[in-house]
Amino acid sequence: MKFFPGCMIHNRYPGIEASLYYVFDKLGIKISPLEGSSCCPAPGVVKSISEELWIELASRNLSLSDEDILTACNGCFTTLLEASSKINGVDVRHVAEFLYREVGIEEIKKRVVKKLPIRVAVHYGCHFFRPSKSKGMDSEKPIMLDELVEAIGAESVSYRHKFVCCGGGGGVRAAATEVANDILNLKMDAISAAEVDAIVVICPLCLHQFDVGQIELREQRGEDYDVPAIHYIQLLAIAMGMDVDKSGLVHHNVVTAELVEKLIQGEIME
Amino acid sequence: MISREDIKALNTCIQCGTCIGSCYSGRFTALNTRKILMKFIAKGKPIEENDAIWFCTSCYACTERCPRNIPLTDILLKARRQLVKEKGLPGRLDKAFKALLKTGSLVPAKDEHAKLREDLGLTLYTAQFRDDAREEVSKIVEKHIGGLI
Amino acid sequence: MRIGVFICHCGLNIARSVDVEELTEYAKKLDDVVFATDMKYSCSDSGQEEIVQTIKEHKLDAIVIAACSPKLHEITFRKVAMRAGLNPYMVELANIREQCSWVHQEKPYSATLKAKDLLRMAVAKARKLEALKRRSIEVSKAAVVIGGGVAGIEAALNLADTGIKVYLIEKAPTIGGHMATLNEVFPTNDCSICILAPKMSEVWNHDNIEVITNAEVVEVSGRVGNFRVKVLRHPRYVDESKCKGCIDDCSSVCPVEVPSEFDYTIGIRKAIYLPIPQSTPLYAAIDWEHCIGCQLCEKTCEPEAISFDQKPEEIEVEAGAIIVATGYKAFDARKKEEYGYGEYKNVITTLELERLLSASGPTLGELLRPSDSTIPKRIAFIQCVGSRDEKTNPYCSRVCCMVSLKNAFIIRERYPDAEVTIFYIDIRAFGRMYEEFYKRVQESGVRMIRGRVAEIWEKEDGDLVLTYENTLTGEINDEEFDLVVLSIGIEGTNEIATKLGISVGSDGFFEVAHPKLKPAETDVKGIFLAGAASGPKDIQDSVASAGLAAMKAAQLILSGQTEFDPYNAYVDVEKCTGCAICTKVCKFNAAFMDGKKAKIDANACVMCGVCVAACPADAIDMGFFSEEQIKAMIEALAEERNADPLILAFACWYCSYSAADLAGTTKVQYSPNVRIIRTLCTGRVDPEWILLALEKGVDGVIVAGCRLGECHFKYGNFAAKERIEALKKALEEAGVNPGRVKAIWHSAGEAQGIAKDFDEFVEEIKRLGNIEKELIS
Repeated sequence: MKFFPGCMIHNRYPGIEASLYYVFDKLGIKISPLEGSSCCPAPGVVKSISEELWIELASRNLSLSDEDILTACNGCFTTLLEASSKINGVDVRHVAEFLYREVGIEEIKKRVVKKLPIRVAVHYGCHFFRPSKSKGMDSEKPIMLDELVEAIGAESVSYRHKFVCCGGGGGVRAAATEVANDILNLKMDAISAAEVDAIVVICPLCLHQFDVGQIELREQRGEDYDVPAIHYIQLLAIAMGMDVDKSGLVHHNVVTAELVEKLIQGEIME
Repeated sequence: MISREDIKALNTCIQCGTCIGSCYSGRFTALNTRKILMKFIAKGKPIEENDAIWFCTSCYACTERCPRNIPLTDILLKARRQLVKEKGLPGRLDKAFKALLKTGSLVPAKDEHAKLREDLGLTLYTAQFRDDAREEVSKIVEKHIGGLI
Repeated sequence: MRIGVFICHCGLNIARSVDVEELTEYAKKLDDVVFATDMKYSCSDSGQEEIVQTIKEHKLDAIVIAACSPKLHEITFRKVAMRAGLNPYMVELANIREQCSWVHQEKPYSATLKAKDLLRMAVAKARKLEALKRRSIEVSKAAVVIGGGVAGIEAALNLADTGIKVYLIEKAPTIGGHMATLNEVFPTNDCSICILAPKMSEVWNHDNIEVITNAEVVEVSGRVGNFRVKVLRHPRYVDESKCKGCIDDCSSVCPVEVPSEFDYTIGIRKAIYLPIPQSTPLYAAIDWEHCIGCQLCEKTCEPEAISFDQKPEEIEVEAGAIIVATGYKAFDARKKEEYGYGEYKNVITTLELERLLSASGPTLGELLRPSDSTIPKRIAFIQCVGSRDEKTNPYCSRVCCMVSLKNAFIIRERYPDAEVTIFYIDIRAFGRMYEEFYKRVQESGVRMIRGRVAEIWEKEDGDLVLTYENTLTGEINDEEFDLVVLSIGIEGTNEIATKLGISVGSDGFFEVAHPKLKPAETDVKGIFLAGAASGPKDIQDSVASAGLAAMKAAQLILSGQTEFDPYNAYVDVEKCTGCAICTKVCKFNAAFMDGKKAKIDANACVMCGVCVAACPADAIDMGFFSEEQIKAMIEALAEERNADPLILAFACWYCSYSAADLAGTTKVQYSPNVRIIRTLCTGRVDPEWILLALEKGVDGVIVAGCRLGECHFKYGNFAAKERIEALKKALEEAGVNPGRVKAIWHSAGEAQGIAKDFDEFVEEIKRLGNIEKELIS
């Protein structure tokens, strides 16, 4: 398989990539980076401007690989999956559904060396499961990520607005940061009420929105939530034995000492 | 562009408001997809220049729940393209597309990001860091929207 | 042969897109046509009279009527022929309305060309028509009514009162259906069970009605006049001759508690139970699935009615007619995940509310919300849950608006402090006194908000937050309620369709023979529909429909005899080689060997024609759909090339032909390249016909049958499928693209589906080009 990083993972949250290689190495699945790839390009933003540009850049990225492509970003997943079905290209997978469907919950449980008993709010990110038809989802409330999180010993807590957008998609984060933060504000109120250690995402754009958005909310509105966001693959890597340091978590904007402590300690499996 | 099929679908709207009730952006902004589309149906003319149209996060919640199966989000994205064609690139997206043209990335890496990758033992391998690939991508961007940037 | 042609304008229905005058002139030039005329309305009295006179005057041997579908007026015109002294089977119809003018409204030029083809084909068949003798059989003086809800009850009583013996079959341990569980019914708000219970008891006590509860139909055989219905009666484990219906003694000791399906799971019952207090018959029943066999009930029952030795019992009854009154099933609200039904305790459905409001329900009529048994103050109704929704059911369920208005009104009446809100898209109050009732409900202070609720969130205390747009103000709100009632839609119960050989529409309800003029009939003679089986209906409409179904059944039964078309298969002994293939393909035991020759029992023959197509010696033929007649039609079609590409479709009478007709009735447009020949079943389609068509220059052939597994003749379309697959292989070997032959399967209700398939096939054949080149190579 080829790993397609996209802009956000390659340029902002490389910890996701490092964690992913760690996990796949442990699972014995070969994966290597898709060299020379560009922006996927982002479905909401670029499609809003030019569909021709969107499909040509996506086709170029797809043509770089003759193996299946794996992404860890909902935006890249959407663009490459949709474009690939249009041009009959290679298979495109998202790491979360790949782990769930191909590796399986039971296998993941077996690979965990350190359980992570934390309370988390999972956030799927819209483009992971919508439009449901093209994503092969049959529910408006998926449970895939909750099960993945529970497989590594964490507790997925129910909270209001769980399936609501983070606010960052469709070019809104770039074009209308205020609106993006309004939605984030609403979402964070609900997450905060659920009293969790972390927000678990499967998309670096959502991660960015939670991570940078919280700083902005604090600076601009005095809302101090201080709930770290982390990509599932980072958590899984830690549960499979990776050093917390190497997961990149400490480089996020919002990190709490409590979370880091809990992740370092965990519950070592016999 | 908005096709005959799209218009056919829009005409079947029963104005039930499910899209708006499901729209979280619409709670904070003037974005009311139902009204935008209602005007479109009633007046039969394209969406007007309207800041609100840029507030859609493309979360597809409205599309998922629409009882008439109207592909609202996709139509809204098409409406944006129509607007861009008429009025040009909105200023708020200028920076991002300049970056795409120059680096092949909407969110290019700066030195600090490159260093972080190195610290984590990762190489720099995207188009931004490969001259031939970057030029190839730039050409594609230039071809389609060079005039807009 | 002297053939007369009558071409109908049908007002403007045909004449608007087909040039009737030109068609008439065209008809006059066809061989053997000695007379041709156009008529404003051929089915009108004066039109019929004109045909009678013309037949006599011109000494016609056969007539062709180019008009609407034979589904509508074939019988009319056969009677016309009889009045003129002509054999009724010397009549052929060209369907130029449903399958031509109505489906090609924007293409009058092509429609006229197609009409010419259809007419020429009909004339070709007319040349080969033979006089046939109508067959008749005695009708057994009994009827089976399937389903004991209000429609079944009404139909059974109507029939029984005329002296007909009725078997009323009900799957539950009691009759009464949904209506027996409702609280009060609109628009008069009378108590539902109070008006139904007397009828239930009348049914039970009627000398002419045998009520068979706890039973299901397992097999239906025979045909109009003599249906044989096999019924499986499940054991009640209670001896009906001993049980007194006291129920308290046995059920109070029963340790098993299960959610009661008669309370729509909002109440609890025991494993030995009476479904409702007014159960008819009033005998306890043991639910074997949940009974743990402790036998405590047996020990307490004084009359010793408990009988664990009872075995399932198979009963066979004979009936002249069958009435299907299987009603509806409630939409499963779990499918609308955004409303959290099944997850949020205080989100309930209409039917559950009916039980909560009912004096004989689990709360004895007290409106208590499930989470904490308190009386809710803020109550919301959400309309169109599982209706008017492409994600679930696209149709309107018709009753839910009135049901919610009624329940909102009752709640306001009983609990004046309650704040009741109805979220609606449109209120549909179309019955007599319904709109007036709506106004009364509004006056009572029920709050009406126009908007479909987007989602519900359950708070920790069980209260519910509804997110919605008030579409009249454009405001988005989050509003809290104590109880939410989902106004669920209703769905068809069609599990029995294949057993009966009747068709199901794309909406899941049984298909009627004509949406306006034959609402009680099915396409199968002798099987009628009552109540919600044929589409969502309220009680009023169900009762009316049941009366009609009963009348139609009585008409048939009381006449004592029924005639049917003599289309049965028969063997030409001279040609028969005694290979016995026919006896193997006939699934109805009609074909058998009589010495070295095959023979077909005309009374057992179901007229599917599978054996006719299977006979390798061409020794079997059938009436009105003979080999010669159909080949003549194919050859006639190929004589002129009035479409490019030219497509021929064989469509079965029970499903696909009906679907094509429905496309006409509902004005679904499709490509005018397609011409249809009807057969009774696709099993009748001889691969030789397809080859003949291709050889003669038809570019593509469609075989259109019932959906697989839903064949009116049970297996006919499987035979067709097999033959077409074999034929495609043979074509490929012969250098003909197998894509020129296609099998499609549609129910009678799938007008859109069949039109889409026609269009796609035309496009596919366009890509392949004309067949000529392939024939040369």
